[in-house]
Amino acid sequence: MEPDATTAPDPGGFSLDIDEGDDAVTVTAHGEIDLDTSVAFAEALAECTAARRVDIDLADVAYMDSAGLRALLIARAEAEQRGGRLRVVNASSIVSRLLQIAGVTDVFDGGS
Amino acid sequence: MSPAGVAQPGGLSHTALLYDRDDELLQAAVPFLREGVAGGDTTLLSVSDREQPLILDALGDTTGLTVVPPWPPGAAFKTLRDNHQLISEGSDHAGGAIRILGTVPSTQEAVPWGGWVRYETAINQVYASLPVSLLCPYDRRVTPDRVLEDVARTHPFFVDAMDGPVSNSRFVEPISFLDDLAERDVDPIEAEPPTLELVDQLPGTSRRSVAALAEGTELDRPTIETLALAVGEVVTNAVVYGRAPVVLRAWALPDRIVVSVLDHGSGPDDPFVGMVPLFTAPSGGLGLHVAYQTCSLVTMSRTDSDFTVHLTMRRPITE
Repeated sequence: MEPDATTAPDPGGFSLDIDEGDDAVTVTAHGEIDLDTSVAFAEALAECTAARRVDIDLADVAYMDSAGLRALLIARAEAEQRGGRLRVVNASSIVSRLLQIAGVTDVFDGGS
Repeated sequence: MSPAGVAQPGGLSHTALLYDRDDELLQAAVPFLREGVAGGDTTLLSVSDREQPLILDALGDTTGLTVVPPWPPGAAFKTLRDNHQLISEGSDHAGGAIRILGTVPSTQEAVPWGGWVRYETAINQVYASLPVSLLCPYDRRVTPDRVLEDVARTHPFFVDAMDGPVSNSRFVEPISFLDDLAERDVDPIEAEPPTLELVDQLPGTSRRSVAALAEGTELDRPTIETLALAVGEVVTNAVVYGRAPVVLRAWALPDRIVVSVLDHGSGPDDPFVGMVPLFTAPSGGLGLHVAYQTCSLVTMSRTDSDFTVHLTMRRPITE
């Protein structure tokens, strides 16, 4: 994975910024995470789970469905298994609502 | 009399407590709770505002009892999930059994009961291997007859003041009962021409189209957004797991939106999938879980050639 790699926006307006900082990898997602884009989202998260700390910024996500949520949960479990930590540091209102609906808000309450 | 509705070791006990007088409620509820606490079980009380002080007064000492507010009328599937988590964690960590004396909001109108009757039948399926004893009080003085009919079909055991716990011969196996509910609960408006029909459209197009349709109803913005979320999930499931053509139909009425999503597959093997999700499993029902958690009613029906998920979204229930 290249530092500061940015995926090309897909036709659905989805894109990712990945910033490898000194202390954490920050993944910033833009657009919609659904059937068309969740695979790319999941793959990007999977590549980051070796990091000690992964921060996911979803403030600019206009829509996310359960496929995106599942990708987050799998990546979080993977990160924990490797001794790291993955958390959602920002969430748009629709993402917050999805986490609340699914009953997993606490799972991603990172603290620091 | 042995305490009502106590689970066999390692298994589920699901018992309806039908009462006509408050002393009948107390006669079963108090020993159920006392013996749970004395035996070291995690013991939970969630009953109506009217029942709670009666029970607490009769108990006296409430040490060891966890008292939680009444379950909200619109939260059947949240209650099912949260209790499942509580029971699973409790049995994992403490190795102990769980007792829940829980009153479902049964005197409301038909739509919330559609969720609660599914909660009652689902318990028999999704809690089957859990060490939990559920005692469900129903006050016969105020519970509608049609609700009591469903109570009889969803509880393997009854307890009453005269006979104590008895096996219920009218109990219907949950998979079969869920099919009965599907026939009963599909909205009659679906017999009318739909307001919207889409064939083989992507989930994004589908949810945006339904959201636009809902703008003309009395549903508020947050309700429309959660409906769109549910529609996206159900159409995604149809595309991924079902078989084309996928046909979405929607009916807009002032007080509700009804959506059906039909595909030509056979639907999930487990008709209870999604009621309690497996969060990270590829077919863990997370999408359907979102629908159950957000919609006023979710019903699934199937024929020899197709499978349909029916969603109804109404204005939020005011409590």
